[in-house]
Amino acid sequence: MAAAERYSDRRVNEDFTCYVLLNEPLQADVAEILAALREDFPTLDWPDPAFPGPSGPFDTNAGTSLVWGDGVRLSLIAGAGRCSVAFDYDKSLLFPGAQQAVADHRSYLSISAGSAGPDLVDRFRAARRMTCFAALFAKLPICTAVYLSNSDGIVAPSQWVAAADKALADDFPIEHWISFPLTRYGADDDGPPPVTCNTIGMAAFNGREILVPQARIPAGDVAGLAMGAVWLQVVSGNSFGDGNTFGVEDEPARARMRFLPEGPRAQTDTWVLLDKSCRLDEMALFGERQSRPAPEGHDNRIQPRPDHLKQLLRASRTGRGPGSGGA
Amino acid sequence: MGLFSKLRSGGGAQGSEAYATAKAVITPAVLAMVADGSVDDAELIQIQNMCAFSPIFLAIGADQTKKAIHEALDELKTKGAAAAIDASAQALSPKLRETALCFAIRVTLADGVLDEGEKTAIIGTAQRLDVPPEVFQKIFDVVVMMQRHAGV
Repeated sequence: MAAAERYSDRRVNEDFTCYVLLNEPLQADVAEILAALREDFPTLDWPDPAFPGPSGPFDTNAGTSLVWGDGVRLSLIAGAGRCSVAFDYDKSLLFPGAQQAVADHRSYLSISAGSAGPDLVDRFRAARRMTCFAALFAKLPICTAVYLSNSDGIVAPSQWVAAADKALADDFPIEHWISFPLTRYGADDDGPPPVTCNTIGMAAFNGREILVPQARIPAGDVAGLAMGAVWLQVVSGNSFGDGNTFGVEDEPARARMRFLPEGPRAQTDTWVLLDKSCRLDEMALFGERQSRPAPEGHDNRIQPRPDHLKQLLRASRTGRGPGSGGA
Repeated sequence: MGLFSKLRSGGGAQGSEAYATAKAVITPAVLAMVADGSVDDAELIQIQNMCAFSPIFLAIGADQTKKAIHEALDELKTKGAAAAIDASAQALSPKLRETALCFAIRVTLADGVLDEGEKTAIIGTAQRLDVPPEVFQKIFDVVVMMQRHAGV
């Protein structure tokens, strides 16, 4: 399979797209939307002279479509009537009212942002641009929910606005940009019932997802394990090696990481965290580990770097890092 | 239809629908207030006070209530009474049309007296709001009880 055809590679080139659901039609003028953007998010890297764009009225009933920019574009499409997405409410763990919020909507806006390139900084900046732009509408009292297609998640308006503020501070709003759906299996005679968590959305940032299969621990802990792995990947920038272990310092390893490449068993490249409670046969499923254990007495533990992403973003602003070329 | 700038500035505290409903409810009361030909600030404040304990107006807050009263007054002047009451009737459910009539009768009976002009106006409002005569009579009787003077 050629590299360009791989779905994992396409994920880091796709637009970030969300749907802002509204309980009545909305009318606006482009100038007032842009003024609101400057007022609420003055440090956002948009709008700027690189984004010549349309002007004039905007109306959900008219199905208006607006596009700014060329290569790195941002678009706002107004949808008359209800959004036709097949919503999956089980993926929105943090928004119990998601189903009602979707039922209440009567018009919507589709907002998309492209990225300058496939690296993490460019992807973060595109996601942030889309999130802040959508937050302008999420703040309106007629907004019932925001659906993020990259994660297939439905987010409460107030949480979406919080995510925009967080991203603006160079923090990664993991719980709102990435979904952590849980699959619960029936109880068996072999201990606590297994729970699986497979992230949706991390691949939009680095082409990979996290899978925690059939862990026999509380569901919240399974989601927490997946969330920790996502944090290490996108915030801390740690590299994973096939066969590495994962856990809290000075405690026995919590899980073993195995790499599952895109193919028949995984839609995208996937890091699989086999929790120590998991009864799956690691070797039968994944074969020999690629990484070798550290020599006796050698400490090869990888430490988290909480400021890694922030430093990359800061460097990109000063033109010294990845993503410094695009908006 | 929500307007971005209006919603953003708080013009639709609970959504513009809540505001539109509140304005539609208060319009007949404002008409009752101007039925004697004039309106002053004290009367406007009296209506505001009347609205203070209604969930319809609690939902939009005091500032928006004041704004709704003033807008209703403007619309009565520009559109005329018949068109403004018809617009209210269209915007409200049958139950909220009864509520709107309650407010209007309260304003009409605020001084405890019902003159012929006020009587004609309030009956006309009830008809435009499509409130059945027997319901109108019930509301009227209750408000009369409410507005009794001490010593009766």
